[in-house]
Amino acid sequence: MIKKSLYPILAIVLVLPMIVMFYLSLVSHWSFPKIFDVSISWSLWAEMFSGNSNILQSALLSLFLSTIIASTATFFGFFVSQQLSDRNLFLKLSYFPYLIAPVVFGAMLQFYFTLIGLSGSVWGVLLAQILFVFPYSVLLFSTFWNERIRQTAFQSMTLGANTWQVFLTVLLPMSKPWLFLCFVQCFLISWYEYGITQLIGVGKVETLPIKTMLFIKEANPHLAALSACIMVFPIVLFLIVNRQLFLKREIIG
Amino acid sequence: MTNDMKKGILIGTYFILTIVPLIMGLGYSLLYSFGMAGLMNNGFTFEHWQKLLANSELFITIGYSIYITLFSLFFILTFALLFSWWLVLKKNNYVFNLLFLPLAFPPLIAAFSWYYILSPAGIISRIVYYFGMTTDISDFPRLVNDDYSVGIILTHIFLIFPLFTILFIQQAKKERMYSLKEISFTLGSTKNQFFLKVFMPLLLKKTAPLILLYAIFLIGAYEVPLLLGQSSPRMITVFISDKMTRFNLQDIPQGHAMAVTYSVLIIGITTLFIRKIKTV
Repeated sequence: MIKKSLYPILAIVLVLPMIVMFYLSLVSHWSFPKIFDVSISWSLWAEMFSGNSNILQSALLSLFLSTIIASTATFFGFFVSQQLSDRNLFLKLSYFPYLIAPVVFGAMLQFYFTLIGLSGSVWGVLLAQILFVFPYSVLLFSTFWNERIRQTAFQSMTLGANTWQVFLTVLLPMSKPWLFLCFVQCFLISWYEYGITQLIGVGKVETLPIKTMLFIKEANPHLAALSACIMVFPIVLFLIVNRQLFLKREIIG
Repeated sequence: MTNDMKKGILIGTYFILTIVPLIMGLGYSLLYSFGMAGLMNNGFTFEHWQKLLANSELFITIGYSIYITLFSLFFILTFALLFSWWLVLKKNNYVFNLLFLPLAFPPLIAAFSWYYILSPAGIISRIVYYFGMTTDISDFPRLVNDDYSVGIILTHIFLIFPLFTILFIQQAKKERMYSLKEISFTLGSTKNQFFLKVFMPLLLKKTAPLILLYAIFLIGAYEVPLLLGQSSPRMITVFISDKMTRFNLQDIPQGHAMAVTYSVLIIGITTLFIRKIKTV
């Protein structure tokens, strides 16, 4: 009995934040104690799509950064983890930059970014994010390079294939799901990143999380909610299509 | 280019992108905390460390971060164990499918949404008012930016407990929990005995590395305590970013000293348990 009544409560808890976010993006003059007796309109959404608000620009900037970071981290992570697959100690070093909170990591590195003139620039944020997305990629691929993969590659070489042939006809087809998985995960880490972007970008590089926080600090929950929707809704749609991908991101370690 | 050269370049790139920045960052913070780097440096001094230790802020901040981590983890694991116990034999339960939803939520947005659910002007407060259970906004208890950090802990639960529930369910299936349950019942154990002596210890032991990993993530949580916490006490990350980015230049060395303390703590824990940490 208790169990059955807990299910709906749990379902509400899981869905409520998303509903609240969407609701806040539609209402205006949401003063206490109004709940439903408020004016609902798509004006903020319409304004955004007409190009009057700069949320779409932030979304495009985030998309640009996340795509480059995910591609770079996936590409290098794949080859580097191959070289480290028999060097376990080196591999474990990836945990340190990955486990230290990005905001602290960024705070410790801020001086160097200022020194080389990258503080407050898009390229600075890009480099800063790579510094902790890349170790994640190496750790993720380390589980791909198992004994079976190495033996298959070795057997192909003993049968006469050269390094390129092994890569193109054996390793690449076998690693395709991993490459996709790694790209998606790295993309998401970068897409959602706030701490290091704020510190290295010094507020000038307005990615979606920075923009959302800006609206929150300005006490503008409606624009913050709209920005949050743009950040989360595409990901939720993707989640519905392929939910196992998300699980993998959370359990790497 | 020979294979050895390629290998050398790749491993070199790896070190340049992972360990070198960490050593450089840690080195700079260490020098700054001893007055040997930065704008206000006057040569080697213990003054900043003494200040940090003297006003007990260091211990309060670390203690508070540990409190948030332990309480969050306790509730996350308790709920995850209970719901996985209930859901493990259910097929295509709608709640199970909804558990994936928080995985798409970044901490910043989760904190923002929960702020507007739990705050005195939030959704719950309005519903309670609507039903006449409160007569004014001030009647509703403070659940965000509050003394006990209820808002932070609830948001952490929302973000992480679904993941552990899903993992526990998967692990329970892998361990053939249903068969184990049948055997235990045949041997005369009760439901509670099976839950406490088999189900719970087995799942906690199998996922221990992941629990440790999440303890490390939680101790370094930033966005959630930034939005839902108080100005004092603060989590370690909020303390560091406050000290380093505020206008008082005198505070920056203490921020660096705290960054060194936190990093050494994380590196120490990770080194100690590094053998146990692996992909589940």
